[in-house]
Amino acid sequence: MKYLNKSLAVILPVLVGLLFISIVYFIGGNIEAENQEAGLTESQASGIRRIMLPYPGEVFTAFKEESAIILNGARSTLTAAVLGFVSAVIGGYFIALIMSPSRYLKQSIYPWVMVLQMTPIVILAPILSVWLKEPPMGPIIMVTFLIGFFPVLANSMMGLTSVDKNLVDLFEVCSATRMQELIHLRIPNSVPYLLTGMKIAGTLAPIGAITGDIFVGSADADPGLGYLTILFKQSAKTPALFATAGTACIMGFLFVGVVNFIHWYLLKNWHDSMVNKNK
Amino acid sequence: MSIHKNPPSIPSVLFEGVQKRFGKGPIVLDNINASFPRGSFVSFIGPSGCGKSTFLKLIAGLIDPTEGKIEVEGMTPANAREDLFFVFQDANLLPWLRVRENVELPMKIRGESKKRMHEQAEKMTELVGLKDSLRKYPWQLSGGMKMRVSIARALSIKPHIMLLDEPFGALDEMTRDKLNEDLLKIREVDPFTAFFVTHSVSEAVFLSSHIVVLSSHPGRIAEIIEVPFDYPRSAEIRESQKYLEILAHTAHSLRSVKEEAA
Repeated sequence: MKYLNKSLAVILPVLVGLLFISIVYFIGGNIEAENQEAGLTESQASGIRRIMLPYPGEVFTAFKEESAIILNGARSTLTAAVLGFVSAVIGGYFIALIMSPSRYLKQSIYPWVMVLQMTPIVILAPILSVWLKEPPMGPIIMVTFLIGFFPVLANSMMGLTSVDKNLVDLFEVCSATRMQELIHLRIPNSVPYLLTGMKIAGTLAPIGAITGDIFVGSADADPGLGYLTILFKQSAKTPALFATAGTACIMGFLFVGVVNFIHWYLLKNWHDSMVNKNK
Repeated sequence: MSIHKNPPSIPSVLFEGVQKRFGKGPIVLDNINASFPRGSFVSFIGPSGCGKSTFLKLIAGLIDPTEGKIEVEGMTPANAREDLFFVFQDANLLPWLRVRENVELPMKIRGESKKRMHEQAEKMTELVGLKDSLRKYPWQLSGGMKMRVSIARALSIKPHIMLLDEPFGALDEMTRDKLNEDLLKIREVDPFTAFFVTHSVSEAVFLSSHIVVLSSHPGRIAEIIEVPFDYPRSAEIRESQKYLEILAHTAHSLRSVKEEAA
């Protein structure tokens, strides 16, 4: 039964995928037939269909043809995503560390963090590109940072402040200084929360890097996947557009995979979410 | 400043006209006057909400009295903290640390050397019978084992005073009896004055030299019962006539304060 359950976890999604692909072929066939009825030749009809709805094989071909430019775009976007993500994690946690001990600091900083968070990133991106000329990737990293740092900050704040009262008493009985309490109690206590923030920031980082690239990317500044989508759309290269989307999707999985690995590695020995599975 | 410089006549803990209320709430403890000699094992027993835990928190200096004065080994509770440790209701271990690191934590905070921390952690876990579990995490231990780690952690700094807040309340009776006996054995090796909160009359009689029966709303000392058995005590005293008499007396005293409260 257990074996069956495990195989079902593979078989069912594959079946859904096959169903999806056959729907694509079905609709594609209809589009071609309609266009032929309207008096177009077979190759014209299939050309139009390819722009509207490319088949998987055509997407693979497009990927092979454009692989140099797509992979280079992926590298550029991944670099921006990693840099933006790392600075979001460090920056978000650092601000949480600063804000957590003092109500006044929190009261003075937090509203501005909220203002930043509420301002649509797509409006901020062009402003950032005006400010940050060098390095060319600067605004894109900044957009990724802005998207990722709030979940890290909010979760870390929670972790640094929601400490079991009895444990705080324990540290007081030990006559621990506030610094010792921070290092031995509050920071370790915040790790699972930080990791939750990192998971959210990790799924947002590639999206942030691509969004940033769409708004501020340019051909002469190491174009990323965002810029490529605009390029491929303008030249009606829909199969290449799908290939870019697929690449971005794989990149996102890789990114989240690494973050999940860190999550697992740091919590595997002690955290309820991990150890209850082993029991 | 060490207590050994103080004359032995100074009591371990002294309460003088102590009253405690939290904010504008009801008075939790009222008119507490008591003095407990060093080396005693004092149990606090009484109805729920009578302020038993508040007693311990006052001695630990975690909270201050609203009125009156508390002296711990002749000092203010905050100054006496170095000589005192708290064993909390649930074992209160840090889940991300192994047993060894949990036991070493108070020493680490005091800045003891690594070597000393290691030695002491091994010695104390051996004393509580958990030497094989040094590398385990708290989730891998049973409730009784966690409590033993908590006691080892408290012992590691060799406190003169140990405050225990219903440490065995969540354990089954057999584990509890065993831990009671072990606690007294440990106390023979590393003597300390104990202040112990419990709901169990038999536990209080078996462990204590003094049983403080508290009435509730507000918490007042209804009676202090002295238990005349010498230490070390063995499990057999549970079957003696004298023990049963004290047990009956304590139970009766507890029942009258409960009826008074009702």
